[in-house]
Amino acid sequence: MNIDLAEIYREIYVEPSREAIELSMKYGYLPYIVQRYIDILGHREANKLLEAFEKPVKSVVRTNTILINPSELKERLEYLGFKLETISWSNESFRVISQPKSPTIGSTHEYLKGYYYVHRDASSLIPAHLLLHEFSGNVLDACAAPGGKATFMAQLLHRTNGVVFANDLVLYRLKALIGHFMRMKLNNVIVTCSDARKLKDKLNKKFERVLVDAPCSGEGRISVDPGRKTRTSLLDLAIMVKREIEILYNTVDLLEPGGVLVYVTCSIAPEENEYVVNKVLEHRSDLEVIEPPLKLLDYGKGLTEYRNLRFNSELEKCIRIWPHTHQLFGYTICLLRKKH
Amino acid sequence: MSSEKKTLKLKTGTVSKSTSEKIAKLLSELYGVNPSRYLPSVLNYTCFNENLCIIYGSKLGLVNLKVLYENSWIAVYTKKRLVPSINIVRSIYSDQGVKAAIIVKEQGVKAFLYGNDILLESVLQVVPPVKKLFAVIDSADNEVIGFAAWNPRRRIYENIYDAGLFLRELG
Repeated sequence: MNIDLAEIYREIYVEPSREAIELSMKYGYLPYIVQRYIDILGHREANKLLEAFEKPVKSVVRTNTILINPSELKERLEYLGFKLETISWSNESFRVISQPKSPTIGSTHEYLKGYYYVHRDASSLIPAHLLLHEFSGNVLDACAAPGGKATFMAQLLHRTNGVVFANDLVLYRLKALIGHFMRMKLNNVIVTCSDARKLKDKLNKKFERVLVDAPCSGEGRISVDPGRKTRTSLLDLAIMVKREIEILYNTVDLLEPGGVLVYVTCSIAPEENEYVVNKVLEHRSDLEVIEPPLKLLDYGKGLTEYRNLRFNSELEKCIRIWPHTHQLFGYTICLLRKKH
Repeated sequence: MSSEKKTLKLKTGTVSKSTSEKIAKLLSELYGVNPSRYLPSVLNYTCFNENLCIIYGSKLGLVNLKVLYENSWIAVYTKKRLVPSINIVRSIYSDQGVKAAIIVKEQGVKAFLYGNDILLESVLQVVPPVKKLFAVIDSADNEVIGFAAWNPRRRIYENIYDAGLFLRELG
């Protein structure tokens, strides 16, 4: 598949309106980013989204159920002064409502002993739930670091002896990933270092489940990283989109026929999500978009059109998590099945 | 980007026959087990820096890929010592009961998990056989949390490695 960066840039190019420029100045964004929010949501809802990005999010503790049960962990952390709230759709996990001055949630000795993982937000729990629903077997996490989803999947597959193949290209991030696996005493993992685009040539193995959590602009995480308001120029975005298309297109080859791939980004940018999946669908007749097997939340629908772009109507089945409606990080998730 | 991020290079490879034999001898001496029951035939290593290498079993033989860690964590090389992994000792204890260990009070556990040594008064029980190396067990839940070595001159159990090491060293 030949991917032309200039074509991507041309197709995703956005000329901001006066309205977008004014709003972007108010909240400190690059104008093109805000223009897209207005295009997708309308002015009023775009305002709500920008307001939501200004609010802090609550971190989430996910129990390592291999070592401790959730109620015991909750009791131990509450004894230390943490106030926790169970997440109704992921009952091994707790939102941290308030915490003592000391220790921090990442320095308790329960943490050091591997009893839990700390997620910045609950959104990142969703892909593993959807990918592994009623599944036992091996799974490939093609872009695994820093490891929130990989450790969760290893935990979910532990009882059935399923193995997580956790791959990433960036060594220092893989180092942290290995640290989490060792800390949490997760044995059903293999950690490899490779460019996800080249994995199919190196890994003589196919999978029934694949997670592609593509490196992205992180536009859904602005609430914890406000630098993202201005970090990604349109050209940077086009370069990321090109890489995302290449990663998705190539990792599909690692799927067994009938196997399911979850494509996810912590970004609400249509360019990094529906646009990417649409491009891959245009070049692969062996792939279909499927509905999520679980309704954990009242998901937002995937986009089938955006500005002058028209996407495959099946992309409506993708999931959008919006900060202003779900009070979570912005995420976009598409489930794809390889046809028999 | 920090200089570490730019320059990080991990050394990986297959463990030499002599090192494999040392690990087998260690398990046999400390726990009286048949090491072949716990050791995979091929052992690989990943070194993160001069002070920390992990040794793990290689089952799949993924020759074309750079493998940094596989599921059976066997041993650690740290502070110039070869020490069994927490995982392998948990597995041995599950089969054979606790051996060559010290059971430690809460305060001692807290200090140990942050990299400190264990004072004699923090030790509730010493489980024989008494060798130089002891698995450290948290008295609150009987979990293995690392390894310590008795220093008769200082009369303390010196921290060789603890479960917190991976967070401190690997981020």
